[in-house]
Amino acid sequence: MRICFTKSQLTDFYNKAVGGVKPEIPLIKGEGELKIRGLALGVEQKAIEAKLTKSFGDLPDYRTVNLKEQAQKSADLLNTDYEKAKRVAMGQETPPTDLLPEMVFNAVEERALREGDITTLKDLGTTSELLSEATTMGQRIRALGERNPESPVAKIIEVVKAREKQSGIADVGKAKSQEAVKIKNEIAKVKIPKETWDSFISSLVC
Amino acid sequence: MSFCLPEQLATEFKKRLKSGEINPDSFAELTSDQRRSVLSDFLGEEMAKNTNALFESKLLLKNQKAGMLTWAKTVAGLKPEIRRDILAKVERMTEVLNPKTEKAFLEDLASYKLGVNISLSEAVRISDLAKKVSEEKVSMEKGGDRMDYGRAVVEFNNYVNDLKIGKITLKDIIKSPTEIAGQAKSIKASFDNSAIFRQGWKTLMTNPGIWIKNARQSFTNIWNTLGGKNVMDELNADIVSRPNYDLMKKSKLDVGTIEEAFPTALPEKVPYLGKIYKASQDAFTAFVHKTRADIFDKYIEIAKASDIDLTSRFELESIGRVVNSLTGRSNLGRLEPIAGVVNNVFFSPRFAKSHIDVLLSQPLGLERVGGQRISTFARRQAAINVVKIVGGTAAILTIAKAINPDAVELDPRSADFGKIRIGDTRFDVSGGMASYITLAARLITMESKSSTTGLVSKINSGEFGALEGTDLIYNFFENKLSPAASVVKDLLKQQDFQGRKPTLFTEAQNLFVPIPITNYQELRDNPNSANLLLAILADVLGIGTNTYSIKSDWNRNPGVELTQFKNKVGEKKFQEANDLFNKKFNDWFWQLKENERYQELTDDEKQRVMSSKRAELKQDVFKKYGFTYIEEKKTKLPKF
Repeated sequence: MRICFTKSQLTDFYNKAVGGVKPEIPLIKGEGELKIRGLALGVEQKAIEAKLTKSFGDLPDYRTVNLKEQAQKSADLLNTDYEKAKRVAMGQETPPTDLLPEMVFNAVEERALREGDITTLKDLGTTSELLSEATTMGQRIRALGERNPESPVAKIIEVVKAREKQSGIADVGKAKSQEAVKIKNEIAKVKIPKETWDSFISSLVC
Repeated sequence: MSFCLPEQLATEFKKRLKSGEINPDSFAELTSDQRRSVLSDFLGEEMAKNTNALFESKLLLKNQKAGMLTWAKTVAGLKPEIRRDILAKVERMTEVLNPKTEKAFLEDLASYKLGVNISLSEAVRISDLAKKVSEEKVSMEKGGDRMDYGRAVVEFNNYVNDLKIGKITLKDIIKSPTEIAGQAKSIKASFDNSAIFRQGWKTLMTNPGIWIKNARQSFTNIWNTLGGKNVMDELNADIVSRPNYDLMKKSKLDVGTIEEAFPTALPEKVPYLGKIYKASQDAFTAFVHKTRADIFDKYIEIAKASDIDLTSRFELESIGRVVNSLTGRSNLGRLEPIAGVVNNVFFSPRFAKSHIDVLLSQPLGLERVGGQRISTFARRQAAINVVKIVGGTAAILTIAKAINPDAVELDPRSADFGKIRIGDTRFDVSGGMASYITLAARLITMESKSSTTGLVSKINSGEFGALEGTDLIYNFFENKLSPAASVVKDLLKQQDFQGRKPTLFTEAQNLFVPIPITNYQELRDNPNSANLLLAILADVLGIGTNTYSIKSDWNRNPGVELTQFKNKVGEKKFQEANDLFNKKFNDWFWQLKENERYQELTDDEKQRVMSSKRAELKQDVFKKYGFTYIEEKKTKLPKF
């Protein structure tokens, strides 16, 4: 089941983080066993830590958050379940306990950049639900982009925002939703023929 | 997956489909959980889970892809590159869309159609450039050339900025009044290297070493730009790779920004002249940005030596404000949210405000950063600056006065205050700050000293034609209007700055003729102006020149006598006669100024002498044009 936050919950969560209390993130049990961290993981953790320190280090909101620990946890998640980390960064899944989603977002971006994973970089900038305008998380992640001029995701977001502004469309969100409905209708038009069903079921028979 | 369905369960499945108990169309629209639930009724939990997984990957995914591909192939107006991206994105799908992912995925596809997405090739380029920046940074940290890192950052930023700006069409320009206003301002401010003394005056007085280095570099920059080199990219590479660059950003130092005098780069596109425009623009921007960065670095060194907490954003922003103002770019305070509008109305509002901030707000701690007075450290630097600026400027004026006592006016109520006067030409050696002191002096004393006749007049005296306090403020701001706002004002008043009726030609001139050319015209037309070459050179380098003499404008409040004269001789000869009158009066006045008896008179007596001469000369001019005033009979009004 997907866990949703209301605006007030997010605000509360943010205020607690600012106030020095470790943020309360719904407990999601991590899956799979932790792999032993090798040299590569150490390098990754260092890179993530450096990035987190650069992005968050002097923000009073994050002074109470142990960035080293967050970097380690992000690196762990990336190495044990990269797909899950991506889903967290995309806002499709909640992060494991005590791990802030923007930390995972940063870590995924870092790895995607290193590996030249353009699809993930692009998706982070264009379709991540964490970036939703209405959420506190979106504002927090965008603020990070401003603090890290070398972030490709931040630049993708900038370009998309600029293009939205230049498009002359009054409500881009609404226009996208309307177009999405058209695509959905197009998908709905494609029916699975009876013969396909038959052959599909037959292919399953022992 | 080693999974198979027993014969009887497969038959049951088919039976349910045939009977309609499972509707094939609505089954596809259910969520995974719902589908599993439907199947588990007759397949059991485990079989249902596996069957649904295979259904999703073998049938549903294909189905969804087919629908999306049909949409992508039929939707009109897509560029081939974008259509290719959509098709690739759909082909890459490995999982069926669920309600969690569907919205984001479909809206992402939709954004391609709306032209608000970014293509894969653009994302690849962004990623490559970001990676290059990252690698160069590591190399710099290991002792490599910091400029390589800087250049990588600039290349990255330039590419992203190009994507953000998109293509500007002629239609966009014509449709946008602000774009035209911006171009007018840019053109007016071009064809010179005025930043070195205008924006740089305060730096010259406070940080002469930095000033000399950067002023010299500005000429090299002009040469390099004309030779086709990209000066700004190199400068930005230098700035972004400095060790203090992060502090610069946190302090909101205005580097890498668009300067208010050059809000648009479009005139660069004009053949031939565009190159000169660009050279001028680059010289301006490079000078102020480099000066800003250099002074900031210097202040950071001082702050470190003074144990100032440089992790404090307040402290950094305070330093940033002082450096920005010192280099001619201030924060507009409460007007900041409408800075764009203010910039369209006034020529250089940030520069104008910088004078007030440097002379008053910052040294006195009146400027606020985040609701607090600027930091003590920043205030102290501002106070040191103001002493250096006032002291340095006063020293220059003192030397000028020692050479020629009449060249310098010490009375702040006069517009000549803070200027060196040669003939009818005034050279502003205050970087534009003197006019603020003059305005303040006039408002405080409620007296104004004419810069042409030297007579002191009362403000708000109530006499006919006397200045009022509001006139002072209006005139002050009128001088600061942007070219576009100036044209609007002329059209509303039906009179330009020189009192002429606005025409298409005069207003086009107001909008698009660069300031050095206008000043050349002023100098050329005045026989008592300073040496033409010297004055032009000073103006081009930012020592503002103004050439004017005593001028009576017969078009303003002409009265019955002049109206009759105008009606008789016509518009052209009337203007000619007005010019002749002014010339005669100025010739007389230049001799009179040296007369000791005249100098001993009171201001009131001097005024009367001049009024009497004006009347005499006017009659001489009338005579030359064969005009004698005939008193018009007054029309008798009926008694009521």
